[in-house]
Amino acid sequence: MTALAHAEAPAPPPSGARERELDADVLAAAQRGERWARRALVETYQGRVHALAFRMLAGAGRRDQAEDAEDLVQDAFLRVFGALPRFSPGGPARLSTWILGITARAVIDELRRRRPVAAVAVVPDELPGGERPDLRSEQRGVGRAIERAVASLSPEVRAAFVLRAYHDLDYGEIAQTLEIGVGTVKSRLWRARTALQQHLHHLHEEAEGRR
Amino acid sequence: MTTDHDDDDRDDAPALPDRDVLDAWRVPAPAPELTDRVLAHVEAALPLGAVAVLPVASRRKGLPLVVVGVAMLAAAALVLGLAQSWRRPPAAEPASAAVTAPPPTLDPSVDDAPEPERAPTKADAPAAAEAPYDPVSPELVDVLLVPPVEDAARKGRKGRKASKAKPDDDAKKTATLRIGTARGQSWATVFIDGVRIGATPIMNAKVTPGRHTVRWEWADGTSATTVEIEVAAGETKTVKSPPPSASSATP
Repeated sequence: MTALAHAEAPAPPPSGARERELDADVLAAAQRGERWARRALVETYQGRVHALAFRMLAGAGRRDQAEDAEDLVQDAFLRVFGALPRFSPGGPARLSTWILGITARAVIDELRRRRPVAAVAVVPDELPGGERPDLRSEQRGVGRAIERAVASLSPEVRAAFVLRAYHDLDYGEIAQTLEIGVGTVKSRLWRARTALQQHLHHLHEEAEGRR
Repeated sequence: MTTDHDDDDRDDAPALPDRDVLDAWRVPAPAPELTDRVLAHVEAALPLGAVAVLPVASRRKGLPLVVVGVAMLAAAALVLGLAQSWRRPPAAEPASAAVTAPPPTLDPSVDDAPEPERAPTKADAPAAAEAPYDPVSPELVDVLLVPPVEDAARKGRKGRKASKAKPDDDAKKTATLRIGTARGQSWATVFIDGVRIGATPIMNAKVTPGRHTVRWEWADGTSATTVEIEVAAGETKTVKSPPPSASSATP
């Protein structure tokens, strides 16, 4: 996969900024099964669902991680629409949290079904024209280190980490979406941050060694 | 939204990297047609207009006519069914005849043996094969493709609950297929060994270990691709349809 062949998604919103939620009347129409409302729902949440699925598939040893993520997006939305009539807008979970929870569980189920295989080395992307190679390379190195760190985690731990780090869910929301206790969330996040710290430290040592 | 209990910055916990560090791990943009594929996949499985639970807004206005109509039809069917059962002539002889009729005598010439089972014929084939398109749930797929575990493995001792087969034993008797279409192709209906499974992506189709035929049929009805795959016990294999240039209509 090269940067030229696959454009990167736009930069995520700054930390703390919530992405928009579907309007209540559109949600009601989607629960009734109206086509325009279903499309609106998919368009509103597809980016987040895809990003979650892609990151959770990190280092799964598959060449076609992008295709697998898209397949899981389809599966996740099928589960979402199957359960959508039972979602209560006035309930404890926001729609986005509820959808991300369904997605995370779908990906966890998929990862559990797969046999563990040797992680495929992350292939560096080609640099688009006009980019400063040093800064871009360093940034990509950090990105790959994070990906390797996440790939070293179990499906359940990486789900908690990705939901926390990239989707700004709080501990209670993570506990609700993954159907675990808050204490378990804390313990999983601790393991994830430890792994991440080790990988980034190793990357820093490599960079120091090259200078 | 963080709460007082979200102690990411506790001294004893490894610090979460800054946002700009985390954002270095970028996600590629999905295919432009992904939204359409998602909606096609959903609409194939969940027809438009399907209502399972009343939305909140409708509750405020009262029950929609469709729910009332369904309830009335169900009640009418129940009443008709009961009425027919009441009108059915009694199978037993009239009481006076039962009292006066001589007791039946055993006729040794009558064969009391149960009617031997006849071999299944094409007429016995499940109607589902001829029914209109109806996505099959993963649970039903398991039933269709995986032979039942031998009863002897599930029998327990007398007086105890039947022991359940260990999950590892079941896994050794099955394999899993994950079936999709190649990038750039629209969704397709999948058949495994001639059995319709559903619309792609098929995430978890259980099959017996060995060789199987996978067939994709696209919505236009004019193109199909068939491949043979072999899968071992306990293995999960992903199968994608060949690229459009390699696809060919099969007779």
